[in-house]
Amino acid sequence: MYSKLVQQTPKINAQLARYGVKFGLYKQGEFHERLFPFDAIPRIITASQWSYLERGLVQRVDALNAYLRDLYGEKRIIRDGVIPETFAFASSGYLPQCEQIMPPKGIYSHISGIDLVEGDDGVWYVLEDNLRIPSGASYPLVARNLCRRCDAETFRTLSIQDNRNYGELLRETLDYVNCGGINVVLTPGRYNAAYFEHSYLAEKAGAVLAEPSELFVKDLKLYYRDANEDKLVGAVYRRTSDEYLDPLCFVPDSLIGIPNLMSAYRAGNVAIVNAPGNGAADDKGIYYFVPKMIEYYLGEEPILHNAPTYLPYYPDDLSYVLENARTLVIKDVAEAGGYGVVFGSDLSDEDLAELLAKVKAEPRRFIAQEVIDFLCLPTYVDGEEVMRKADLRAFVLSGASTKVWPSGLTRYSREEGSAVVNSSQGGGFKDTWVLGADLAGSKEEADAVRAASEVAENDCQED
Amino acid sequence: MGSLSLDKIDHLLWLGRYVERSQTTLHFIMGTYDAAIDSPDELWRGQLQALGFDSTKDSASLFEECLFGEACPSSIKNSLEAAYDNAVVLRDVIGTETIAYVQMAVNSLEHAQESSAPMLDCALIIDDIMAFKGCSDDYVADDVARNIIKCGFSIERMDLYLRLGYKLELLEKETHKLASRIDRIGIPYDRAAFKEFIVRVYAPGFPENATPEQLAQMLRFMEQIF
Repeated sequence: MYSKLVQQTPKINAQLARYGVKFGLYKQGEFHERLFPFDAIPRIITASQWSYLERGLVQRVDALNAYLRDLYGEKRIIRDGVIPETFAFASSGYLPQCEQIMPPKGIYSHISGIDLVEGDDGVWYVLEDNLRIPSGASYPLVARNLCRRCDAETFRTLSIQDNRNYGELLRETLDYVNCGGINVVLTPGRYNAAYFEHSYLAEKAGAVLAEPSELFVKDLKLYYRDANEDKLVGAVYRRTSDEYLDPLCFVPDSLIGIPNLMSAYRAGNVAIVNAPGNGAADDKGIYYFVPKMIEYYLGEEPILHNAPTYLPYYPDDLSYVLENARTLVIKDVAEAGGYGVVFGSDLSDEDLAELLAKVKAEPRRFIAQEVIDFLCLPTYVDGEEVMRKADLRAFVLSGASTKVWPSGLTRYSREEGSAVVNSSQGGGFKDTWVLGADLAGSKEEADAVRAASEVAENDCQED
Repeated sequence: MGSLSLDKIDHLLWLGRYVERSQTTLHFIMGTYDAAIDSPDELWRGQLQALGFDSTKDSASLFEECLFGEACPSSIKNSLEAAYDNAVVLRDVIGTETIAYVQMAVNSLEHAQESSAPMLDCALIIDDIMAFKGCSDDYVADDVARNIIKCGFSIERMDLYLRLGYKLELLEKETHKLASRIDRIGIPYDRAAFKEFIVRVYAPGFPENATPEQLAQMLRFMEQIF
């Protein structure tokens, strides 16, 4: 189905190099830019699978937004004992400075990156919610254009949903919450790991790419320092962590913040996308409670599954983790980017004992999950087709309505058997094809896709 | 005009300058490389010295430095990387397609460095730069941004011609081009004073033989420009 694409993988990667599709990495204090390896074999999601995922993702993000509104507002969910108070407020992402601030249109997470994997049992599991500054949408956007040029026939015959409208979706989202003025993408600067994405999304959304020195607050309004006349900013899509956003409110020695930005935000004069304080809801510990949030706020059964998760904070769960650590993956909730993720099976007895001592001493700092044996996808590595584990980051945009971008970032591990797919750990990416309803309705096509998946799965198990 | 901060204007100007520096310097290096093959004198060494290269090196090392020298600010490598550094922060203004040609020039230089005939492969860098110039002229929608880049081309070209005593006959034409480009940016300035100032700067014997009165007159012209 995609053999022509696979043959052209080196050429597609050469074209990605032409467009500077890179991510930054700091090694021993030095900044390096690396090309993000692209594998032309796509992840294919049938229309019926997508319909299920789409409903589940919208539900999940709506509940997370409801939680954030409640957490920084009335706190009903805590009063009602659904989430323990100490648990909610002990999250490092909870920011008391955001208490009682209602963001424009009541939306906290405008762009949510939900990480999923498909288990070898065919069940999709959510592994992580990213509600602060999820990155990765730009890469499949560039890749899709190149793949279409490379293999028009495949795109003509398969009904693959066009994913190249992400810039428009982003613009609509920013416009919806814009408080009057231009849209800007705030980047910490050229040497940020995701700088390519910042600049690319600014271009595609028709927003101004701004560094902190180009923005200032006056009379509780945010302005862009234009050479002719300062321009009012109505929405800022910030790609800077909460703690560095405003030195007068958070880390005082932040050089990449905008003094008084939070005052302008609190006054309702600018939308910050995503809202500060969202880390309170995408904490790895809070993840455990998301299904409960869905039931509490929406009165619905969760559509998507969490990976079975244990909170050592609860004595029963702690006992289970201590007894079964060898079969679990243990995650430090304060870490991100694939760091702080430890498989019990990989540790020596001594290292495992050391880790469990830490878990006992700081139970709130860790979660433990059953290892999801997730599906391997056929992947073209070093000239041959092999099986590699892959996840999917789905992007959900919340504006006038909650929409799921019909694509996503599929990341795969470079190493056989490894489940660490992060780009910072050497992983690559694939395009994600969501098949259109008309073709997915075709039994032949659905069978072909299913057969490809089954072959992939069997090959992986044999490995 | 879209939104342009002073920082972005600065990057646009320097993008133009570094792109032009890469191209003009590369042309110049290619010419001297040819002369170095069988020229009876070693005048070409002095010309490279004027560009900031260490002309005391043997010719192979010298030309290696001209193209790829990391420690040499005038090398093509450093000029192209500086062009890239300015381009990459302007994606929202000049677009990914336009930036791609600067990236391609950087990539071509890297390939040339691994080649057994680097000077031959450097022709691809010229192709990429010419494509960048065409693309920026055609695809950069913002008139002001486009003309600031082109001002950068002109300023750098004039600077290099003067430093190298190279193509001096083209200086006047370049001055007119620069004036037209400044006009299109829309900055209010006195065009006549600018051209008068430039004519005097390029006059034979300047600045060695300039009198204090002439210098004072030039300062007055300068004050009138903006």
